[in-house]
Amino acid sequence: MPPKGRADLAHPDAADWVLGALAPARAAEFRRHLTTCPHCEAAVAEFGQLGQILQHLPPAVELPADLEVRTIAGVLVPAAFEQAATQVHQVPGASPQPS
Amino acid sequence: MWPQKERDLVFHVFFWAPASNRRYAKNLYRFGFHMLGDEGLAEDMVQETFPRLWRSAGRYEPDRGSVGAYLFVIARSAAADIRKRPSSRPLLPVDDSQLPPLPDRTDQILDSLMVREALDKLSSPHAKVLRLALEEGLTQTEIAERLGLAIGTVKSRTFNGLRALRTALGERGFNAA
Repeated sequence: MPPKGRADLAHPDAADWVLGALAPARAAEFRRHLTTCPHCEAAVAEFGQLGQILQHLPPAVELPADLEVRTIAGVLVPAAFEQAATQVHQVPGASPQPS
Repeated sequence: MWPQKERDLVFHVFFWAPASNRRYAKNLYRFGFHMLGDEGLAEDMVQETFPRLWRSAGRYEPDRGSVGAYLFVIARSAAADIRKRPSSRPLLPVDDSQLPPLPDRTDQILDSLMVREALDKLSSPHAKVLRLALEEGLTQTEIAERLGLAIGTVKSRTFNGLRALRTALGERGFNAA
């Protein structure tokens, strides 16, 4: 059954709870409050799952400027050498003749 | 010549989809930083992932998942190896419990990166209150003080920000209830 309350009327602690910003003592207090407040219950029901995901996100770090180029070079340069070596072996006369 | 399958995958990642490649690299780096807690080790992980992709490209099966998902299967394995490596020890947090567990499933990684991207694209002022809460751990009261706003305004922006984020994720096919 959906909660009877309205999330927009919830206590600000409900937003802190959803985003994991409540200190442990305050969180315990909020859990008790939650059993008696339909508005906070509605907010937790509406945003709880998204809040859980948000609390465990990878950080918003930016890619170091030259990492992409270094990474591509790290793949393509050895691959090109490998291919060149293969082609040398394929040149007629370059590889030992089967006896 | 390179086998066709490997050529196709490498061309897809590096040449045909340079914008995707930038996104892959950025998301890989974020994933690496999250899993390893160190910028240098995150760089090592990115740099080890692409050659592993190249070497194992022949085993990639398009029917079983996207190139992105395949890339993160490889990245997870590279991150696990880097965690175990003795030379990484001085750079990793002293207590292993400070590092998040390696996700069991690649879709968990892709989902959290998708949410991260959606959050980054969220417009101000919604994004501002959410970032202060999530990245600095501020409470609604502290955010209100920091921004000189009424606490009711901060709460509305938080909830409306979460709704906007959920809508943005829904448009990308992600269901966050």
